[in-house]
Amino acid sequence: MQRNNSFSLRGIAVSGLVILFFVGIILSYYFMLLSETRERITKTGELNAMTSAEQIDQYLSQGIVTINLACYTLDSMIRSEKSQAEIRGFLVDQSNAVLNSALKTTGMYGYIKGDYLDGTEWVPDADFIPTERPWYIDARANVGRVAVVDPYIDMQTHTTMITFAKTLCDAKSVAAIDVSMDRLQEITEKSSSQEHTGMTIVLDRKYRVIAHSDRTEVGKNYLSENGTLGNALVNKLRSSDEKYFSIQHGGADYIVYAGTVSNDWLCLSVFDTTVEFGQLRNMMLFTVFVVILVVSILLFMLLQLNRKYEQIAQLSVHAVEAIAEAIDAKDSYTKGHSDRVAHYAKEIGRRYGYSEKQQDELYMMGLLHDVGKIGIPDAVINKPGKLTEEEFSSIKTHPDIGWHILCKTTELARLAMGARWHHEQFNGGGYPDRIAGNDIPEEARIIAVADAYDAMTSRRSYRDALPQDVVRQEIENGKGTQFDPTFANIMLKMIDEDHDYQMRDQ
Amino acid sequence: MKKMLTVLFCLFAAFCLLTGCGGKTNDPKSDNSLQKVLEAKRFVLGLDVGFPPMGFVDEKGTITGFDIDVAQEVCNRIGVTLVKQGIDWDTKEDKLNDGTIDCIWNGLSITPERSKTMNFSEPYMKNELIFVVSAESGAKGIYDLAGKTVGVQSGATAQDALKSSDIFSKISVKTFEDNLTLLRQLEQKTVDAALMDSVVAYYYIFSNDKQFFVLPSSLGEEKYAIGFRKGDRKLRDKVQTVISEMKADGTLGKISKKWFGSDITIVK
Repeated sequence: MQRNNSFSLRGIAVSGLVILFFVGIILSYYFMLLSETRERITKTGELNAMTSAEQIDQYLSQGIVTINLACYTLDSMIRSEKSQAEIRGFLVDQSNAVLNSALKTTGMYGYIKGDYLDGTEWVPDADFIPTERPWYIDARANVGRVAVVDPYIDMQTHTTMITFAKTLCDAKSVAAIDVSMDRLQEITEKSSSQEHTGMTIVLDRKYRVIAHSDRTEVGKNYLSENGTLGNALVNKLRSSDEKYFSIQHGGADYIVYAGTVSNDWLCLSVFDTTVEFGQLRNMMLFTVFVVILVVSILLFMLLQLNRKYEQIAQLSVHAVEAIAEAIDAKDSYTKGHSDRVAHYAKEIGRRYGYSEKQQDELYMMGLLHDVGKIGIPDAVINKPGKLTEEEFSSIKTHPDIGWHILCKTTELARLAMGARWHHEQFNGGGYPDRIAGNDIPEEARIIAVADAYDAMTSRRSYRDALPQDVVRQEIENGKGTQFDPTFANIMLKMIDEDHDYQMRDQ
Repeated sequence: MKKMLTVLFCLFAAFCLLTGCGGKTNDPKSDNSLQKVLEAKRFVLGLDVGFPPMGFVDEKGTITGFDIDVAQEVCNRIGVTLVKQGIDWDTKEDKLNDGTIDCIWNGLSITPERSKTMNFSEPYMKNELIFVVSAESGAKGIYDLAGKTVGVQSGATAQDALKSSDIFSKISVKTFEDNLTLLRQLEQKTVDAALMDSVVAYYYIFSNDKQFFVLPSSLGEEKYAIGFRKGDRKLRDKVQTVISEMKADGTLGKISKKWFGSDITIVK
């Protein structure tokens, strides 16, 4: 039964390994495909993102250059102590000039040397305080650099108006220009309408959405929009410096390319890879499922086959046991003899270091060692008194008879040597072949010891079982003459461990 | 059976090795910089007290400024006392390395040179190096400064920038201990122009209502960061984490608004 167990466990382990192997192959193939797909997406993504980032950058730079150039002139006019009217005249000229440029602007204005000067027709209300306007405050805060002032969102069109403003040379005057972010919005919308289902997002330093492929997102601040994809993006941006990264949000996978444009703004290209990766993943899961199924079926079949094999093996053991019982039945005084010899022999074999398979064979050999007695008349076997010379020679033929019986079947042929040589003695004094020492097969030498032990420890018609110390002495005496000392010693050890003399015919 | 298990285990182990599971432990030296500050319950900030509005002495005689406000908030959140230690800008590296101060936090510009000896935080603000001239000066551009005296703070990045600029050979240079002294000297006309951080110049001109002019082109853009000792990674990381939190909850923006009128920080 133990054999059976270990066999099926091994089967399971082997199929486990096979599954692991195939799953490993599938997984590595899957990851290869995945990285290939990822690379392809990132490549197109980068190209796409760089194009839009470049366009956005160009547009922003245009605004920055425009205000910078105007400021150069204004600085020079202030230093040359030009009149306020002359400065206003310059602002009007500039406004007209930029109105016709690619910049979508409403014109230029400024707070210069204490006066609000406007380059357009616009006349401020009486309560208009220029130094409290965001463009003035932000320009001052940015100490000489061009400030991109808080974008103002037109809720009607979802477009963003933005102001570029810069402090002038006296550190108190500021010039500014309003620019529409329509064009930026156009760029983001156009880039996302191309083949890939991505989105382009422009964020300012405070993570406010300046432009977005989806207009309704414009104006949101992703830093505080908890739980949204935008917020997840910002968290990732804040914690890493990588140009590419992938994030998961709401069960979807995204690959993101992040580039910096003018004014430390960020241009993000976000690609939803859920569909593409999902298909890949489903394919992989399906293949793994099929492999597991196939291997499981194979394992099941293997176990079935194994069970059949075990049944057949069991059947042959039962058959041999039945034969052994038949032999023992011939002699009322040797009932169970073959069975006991088989057990003793197996134990000696085990102690000697036989494998389980060898032990089983030894057991079978023990069961069949006296099979030749079938050919001896019952009268001789069961005779109570002393045997005549003739009767004794008849008994002595049983090893040869057993040999011939067992040699008839190929499956039991190996067992025949136990039957033929179990009456040989180590010094060559036995029968039928009078062979000695290692010429006697090892198994036969073991059975010889087991056979002699059981003969002495069983009742006979003419005596009871011998006392244990007598038996021990007999084995000790036979060491080297009748028995192979190695196996005699093992038998002696078994006797010594058997304190209550349990090991006998009870 | 045992053999099988062993084989399976070996395969698993090999798989683990190949895929690299099991974290790497890579901590070279025991860095107790943060622990030391937490145990002493004080965080010593080194600054040049003549650097408005980042760190300077106000009319009441207390050290204040944008950097000081941010540092104070960081200390409040960590639970330590902020100690403001005025230092000579020329010796800032020595003071940092001999342990007199825990960090230099005072409009300190990141340079490749300084990165070798210090452990910088992430940059938090931008700055430009600009020339300031008095109202009466005729200089309208850098090249009008030829033959003139230009003042600069000693030990500042402005000093290095001036040395490597085209006009260095045509001007004479005077160095000063701090920018406020330099601006006062400009006012008294002992120098014709001053090269300094735009952050300081604009703040000074505006808050004192002085008549100065800024020349249009700069000698380069820089980024401010906090400088820690080279090995003090844990302290630097802790301060950085708190600053990032302050960015997220709007505190940093509020402090920037207080000093500059608007949020001009560039913290991620």
